[in-house]
Amino acid sequence: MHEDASQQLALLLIILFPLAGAVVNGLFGRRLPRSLVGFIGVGSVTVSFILSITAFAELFALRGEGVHEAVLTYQFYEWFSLKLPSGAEVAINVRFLMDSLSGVMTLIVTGVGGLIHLYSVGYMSDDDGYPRFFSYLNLFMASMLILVLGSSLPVMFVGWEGVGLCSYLLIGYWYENRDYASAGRKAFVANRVGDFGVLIGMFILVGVVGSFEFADINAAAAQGYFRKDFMMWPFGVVPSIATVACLFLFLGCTGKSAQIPLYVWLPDAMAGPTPVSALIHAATMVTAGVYLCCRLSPLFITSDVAMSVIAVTGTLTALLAATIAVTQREMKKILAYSTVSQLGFMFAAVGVGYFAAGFFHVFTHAFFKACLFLGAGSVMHAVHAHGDADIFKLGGLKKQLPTTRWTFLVSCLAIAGVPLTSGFFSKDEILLGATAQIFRSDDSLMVAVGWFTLIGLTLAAVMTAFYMFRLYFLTFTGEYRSAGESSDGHGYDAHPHESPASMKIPLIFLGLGAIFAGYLGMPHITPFVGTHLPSWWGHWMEASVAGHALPESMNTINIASGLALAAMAIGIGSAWVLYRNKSKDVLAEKVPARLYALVFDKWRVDELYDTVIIGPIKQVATLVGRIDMTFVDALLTRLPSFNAREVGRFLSRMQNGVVHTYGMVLVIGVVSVMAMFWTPRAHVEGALEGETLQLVAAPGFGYEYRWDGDSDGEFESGWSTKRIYAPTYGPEDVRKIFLYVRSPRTGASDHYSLTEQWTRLDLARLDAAWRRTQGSLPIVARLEDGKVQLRMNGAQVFGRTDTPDVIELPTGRGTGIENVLMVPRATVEATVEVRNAFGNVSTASREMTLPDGYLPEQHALLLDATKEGSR
Amino acid sequence: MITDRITSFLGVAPLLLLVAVGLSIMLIDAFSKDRSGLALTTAMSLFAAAAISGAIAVRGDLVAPAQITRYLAVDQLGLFFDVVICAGAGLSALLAGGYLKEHGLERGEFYVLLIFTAFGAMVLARAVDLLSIFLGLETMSLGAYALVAYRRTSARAVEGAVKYFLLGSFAAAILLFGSALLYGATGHTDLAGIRDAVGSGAADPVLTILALVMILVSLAFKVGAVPFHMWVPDSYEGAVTPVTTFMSVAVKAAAFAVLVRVLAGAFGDEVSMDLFTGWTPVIVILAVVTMAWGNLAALAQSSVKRMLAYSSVAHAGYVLVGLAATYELGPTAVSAVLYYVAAYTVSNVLAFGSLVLMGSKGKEAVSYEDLAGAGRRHPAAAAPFVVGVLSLLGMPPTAGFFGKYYVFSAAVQAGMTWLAVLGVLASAVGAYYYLKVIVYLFMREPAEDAPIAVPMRSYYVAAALLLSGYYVLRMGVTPGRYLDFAISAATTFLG
Amino acid sequence: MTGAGATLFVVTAIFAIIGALITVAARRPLRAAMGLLVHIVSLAGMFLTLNAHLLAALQLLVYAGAIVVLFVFVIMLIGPEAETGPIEGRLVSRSTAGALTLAVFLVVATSVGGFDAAWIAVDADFGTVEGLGLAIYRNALVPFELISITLLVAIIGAIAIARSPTE
Repeated sequence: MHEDASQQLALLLIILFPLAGAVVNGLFGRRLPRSLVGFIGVGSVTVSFILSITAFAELFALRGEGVHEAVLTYQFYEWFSLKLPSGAEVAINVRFLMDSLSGVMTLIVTGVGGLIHLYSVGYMSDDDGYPRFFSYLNLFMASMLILVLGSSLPVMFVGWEGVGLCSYLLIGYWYENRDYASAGRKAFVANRVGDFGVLIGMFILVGVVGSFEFADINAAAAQGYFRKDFMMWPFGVVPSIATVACLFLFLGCTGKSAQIPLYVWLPDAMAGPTPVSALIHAATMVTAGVYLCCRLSPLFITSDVAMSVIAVTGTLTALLAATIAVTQREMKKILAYSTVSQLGFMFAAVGVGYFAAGFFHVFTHAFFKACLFLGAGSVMHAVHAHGDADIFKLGGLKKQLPTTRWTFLVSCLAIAGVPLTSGFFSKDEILLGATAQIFRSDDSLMVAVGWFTLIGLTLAAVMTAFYMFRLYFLTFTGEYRSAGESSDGHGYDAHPHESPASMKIPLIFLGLGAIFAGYLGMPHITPFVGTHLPSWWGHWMEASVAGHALPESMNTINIASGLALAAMAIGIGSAWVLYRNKSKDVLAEKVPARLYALVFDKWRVDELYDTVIIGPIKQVATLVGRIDMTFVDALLTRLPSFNAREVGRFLSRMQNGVVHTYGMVLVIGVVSVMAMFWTPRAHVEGALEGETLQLVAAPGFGYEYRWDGDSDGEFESGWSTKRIYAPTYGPEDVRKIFLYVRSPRTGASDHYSLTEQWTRLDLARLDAAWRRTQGSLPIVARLEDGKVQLRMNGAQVFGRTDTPDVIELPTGRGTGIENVLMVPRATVEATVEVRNAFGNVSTASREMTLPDGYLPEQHALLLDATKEGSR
Repeated sequence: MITDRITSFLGVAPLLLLVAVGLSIMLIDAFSKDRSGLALTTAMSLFAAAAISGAIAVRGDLVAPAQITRYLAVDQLGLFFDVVICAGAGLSALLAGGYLKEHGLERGEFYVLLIFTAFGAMVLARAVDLLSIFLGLETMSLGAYALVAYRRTSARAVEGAVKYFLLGSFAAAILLFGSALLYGATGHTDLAGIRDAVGSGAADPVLTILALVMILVSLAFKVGAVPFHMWVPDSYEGAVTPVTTFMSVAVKAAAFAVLVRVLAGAFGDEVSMDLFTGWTPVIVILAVVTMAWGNLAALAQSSVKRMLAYSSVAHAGYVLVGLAATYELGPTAVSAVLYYVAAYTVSNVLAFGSLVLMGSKGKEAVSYEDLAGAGRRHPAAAAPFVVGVLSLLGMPPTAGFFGKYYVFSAAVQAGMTWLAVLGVLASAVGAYYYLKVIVYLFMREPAEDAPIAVPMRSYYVAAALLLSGYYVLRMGVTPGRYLDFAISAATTFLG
Repeated sequence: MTGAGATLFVVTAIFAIIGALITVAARRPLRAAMGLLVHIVSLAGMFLTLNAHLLAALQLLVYAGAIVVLFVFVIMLIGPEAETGPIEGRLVSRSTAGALTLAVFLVVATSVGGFDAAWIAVDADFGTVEGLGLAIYRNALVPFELISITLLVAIIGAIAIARSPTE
């Protein structure tokens, strides 16, 4: 693993500084003066940021020297090693890596993180747990940096779990409120459900690749290692391992990045202090899922199924969250749903194969969303709102809070996608990706996914612009609606005041970022005009992120930009009309009250989860608990104190019931285990022993077997202990004929059952090259008098030019069309009956494939149908 | 010459040491009123036994007279469990040193019993003959029954002990019955001979199956697998907390050792292990039921001690997942089992030890309510608790994470992805009740008039927590050494 | 096995089972002790069928002579009329457990009944003074020593429980 002798110590220090800050503040914070605590908190992250810049500069210089895949690494130590069934030893190193992707992410985390730390100095100044807060925040930074810089899945997973824990601690920071603490736990449990996906995905990957390093996994994916079929209980054969692994990993992403179905924790997470919402639940941690997808982009891109699932999930989340955001009344709630929705955008971009665009949105979103959250915090600080601020009690704050207002406005413009702001560039790229998929793909499913994504995201973009400006207008325009309230009651402060400098400076920096960050990723071609532009971002990212090529067609580009502009204009325009200088929720009066209420209640998804998942689990747990302790607890409550008489009574009671019950359960256990051996379990598989085929039955204690090789109901052998049987087959034994299709280049295969009717062969998923040449002409096949016929519809048969309309496949070695091999095959069925030592009997049958021709004069190969698929 | 005689016993030196120390403590206790040093002596002797075992394993001095090795194996596997059992028992002794003194329960017999019970557990873990299995099991169990009943003034303790005793005797009878049938089927009492007879098909299938069922059930009882776990919550809750700790680590480790020896050893042939017809499906089902039931029942508890009891049931389920993968993976799966047991030992000591620490004279911390706000008032005392539950939960970078990691990764590699999925889901349920501890420590305030638990001050308990906390983190951050030991133990055992 | 030996075995086996059942089922402790005595004497008889005269004698001396006498002594000390109450309730669990246990025993009995193993000739010194000495001081030395520790643990355990905690 030590290819480069130059160890980049900076990578380790980037992580160690915040960690040290967390330890110092956590252990000694109470005894240190506040100013020092704040200095340690902010200072450690600032040092980290400076180190990141120097490391990034070095990386940049390497790229400048023409090193395409430039990386900086630091090998800390070998963590542990794992032995695979293949016998290979896999060493897992604690190794950090900075490449184009993690470099940018590190800058975002430390840069935006540093600003938010600075902001917290002012925002948390009145809080009792000041050192605790900075300790958690620094710990979060360290975990997040481990997540980003880890060069392999297990190291990343350490950070992945660490940020989850910190997020949990920070959400529950104001623990006095019980709802807050339970919001924290909800977040953690939702994340744990997701984490298991990451773990399982990880195991599958290491099983295939034999390494946990991202670089090795990606290289293996590029070489087609993952195009193998995969047997997975209880789904049977799954098209490719990549699909399974990616879907498990994506489940983890839905937890961490708040996508359907696990998004419910993020809105509740707003219970934490506002800087936490800005840092963890907007800018950094929640984008970890997108980061993971980008990190493993060469893997994800090999699975169309997984990519479609991601695109559809992302789009649905974007839409669902946007509708909810439209109706909410509280600043942070709106921003939270907005975050969920924007994360949906990012995943949609990933799902249509434009990873760089998705990650670009992560980058721009970090600026404007952090700025929005901090702006909301500034407003809440100004009006002394605790927890969250109701926008219908605010209004007209542009006079009192000028800095907050301008930075907030700029960020609103950016998130709405106004041209020349950062959000415009990134959102435009995402829509472009969806449009490109529609035009690029000839697979009807992929086209449908493209359309769905494009339309869904456009609608979501309209709503984004609308709810953001609804928020802006209601907060900053019109009259201040809490002016009459007293400052000591439960209402808001009658005289809001602008925040201190430590809070304003981050706002200004982030606001500037919200405008200018986008220029790094200008579109490669200007829409409508057609000028080629230098896209620094795309060029920079292609070193570590896979993805489809950007379209050159002006049509595609114009459609995407047109939709983005229209969505922005419609959204902002309608918000202007409905909410500018207004004080009431005008929209609520215009839509049916019940629908509005339903959306306002977040589509009642929480309640649905409560009844469908959490309720039953709780009930089962209570039941299990009750069954397990009925007797005990009943007894204990009756035995408050000890004396001899009570013990005597107690012992007799116990002999009368409790232990009998326990004993009964024990006996039931014995009987159940015995029952598992009472009846035999028959299982048969086909196997090849040299040139002869064999049926092999599973072994068992004292089993005797008798065989019916062709499943005609007559046993050809008597009872014997022989568990291997070699039958001979004739044409009359054939059960079914099907067509086996295989692409020798990628190794992907498929089979189609044939009937007298023409059946369409969907060869598209076997090989990308086929898809293009095949065009829209399907190939059909049928069975005619026991022979397989193909109609090629104009496609070329390999090695033949005089393609007739209908060709008959030879029964021998099959034929090739383009680069796909087709072989007709027949199946037979074998049955074994098993008798065990107790005299009980069980049977098992197995359908098996005769691969080379279905009139087997010599049975050269006999393979199990399900195993065939994986070859 | 004489030194040769002595070194020829080196392989069983840890056992001999414990017997010597146990007898000495009996004498000291009989003639001296001063009991202040007993806990320290006990703990140091147990740690010394662990260190000797580790040293023997590293140096490879696996020598002992044939008369001994006929009954007690002197191999890496046995030494691995020696280390785990002695470390668990030593840490429990340290906890007892603080706990018994604080609650006025200190008596010399306790430490004698602890040492001899640990001795029984080590004999069990090394047993390679049905006779020594039974004797080791009985020595360990008799000691454990007495330890559970140690605080006789507590009705819970007596109740737990009586239940444990009755059901344990029942299980021992079943084991004895199974052993007799196995002898009848194979004509051997030594596991190697049984393995040959079973593997070659010379053994009578019916008797072998019946024997396998009985032995498997009685050992499942000892590891506390559902549905043979009914005694666990009662006796764990009734016993004084250091004893609970000891039982949940050392006694359980020994039970897993003998389970590995019997299943992967004596019944380690292809037919006995078969995925469809052998013991593998039984273990799979036990694992699933144990993980599900243990976690769900733990969820419903209001007492932390009882929750930890159920959680130890659930952890037995995770270990069984690793055992189930033995069919496909052999030594790799066994090493996952070993590592899990070791990781679980230190994590569980840490969690139970923190519970001991949280209570002081007159007010023992037992329920969640007792812990309310303790983390805010005494952050240093709460820190080990947090690390302990996070490790039990399987959070990286702790020992518990790697235990789960190896076990589930073994299951996936053995083609039982669904079992690993169930396992991780079950541990996601576990997250809920483990976190409840942290919630109460840091995010709750005690009820108005509730008595407030004050952490005790004890160097013994502090030492136990520091040691186990160190190893929890050490086995999470640099697991290599411990895993290598587990792998070499598993590889030499299965050849 | 010769005819006389077989007869002796069957008779002693039946008595052993009857004795064991009485021990478990008797309400009066004294009767239970007598059941145990019957069982132990029957076991001694079974040793005789194996030609293990020494073992048979030891069995009678130690168990029947010493241990049962000790039991009876303790029972008389507490009061021979002490009687456990009738077992009531939990009919479902008890009958289920009973039926299942019976089923297990039937399975085992039929299986073992069908098992036709070859007779193994015991060594000539089996059960003799020499054989016993070799067994416990050479061949099975380890289990023999382990038993001593098992018994030691049992004694310490009994003391630990019995000793008053408020000394």
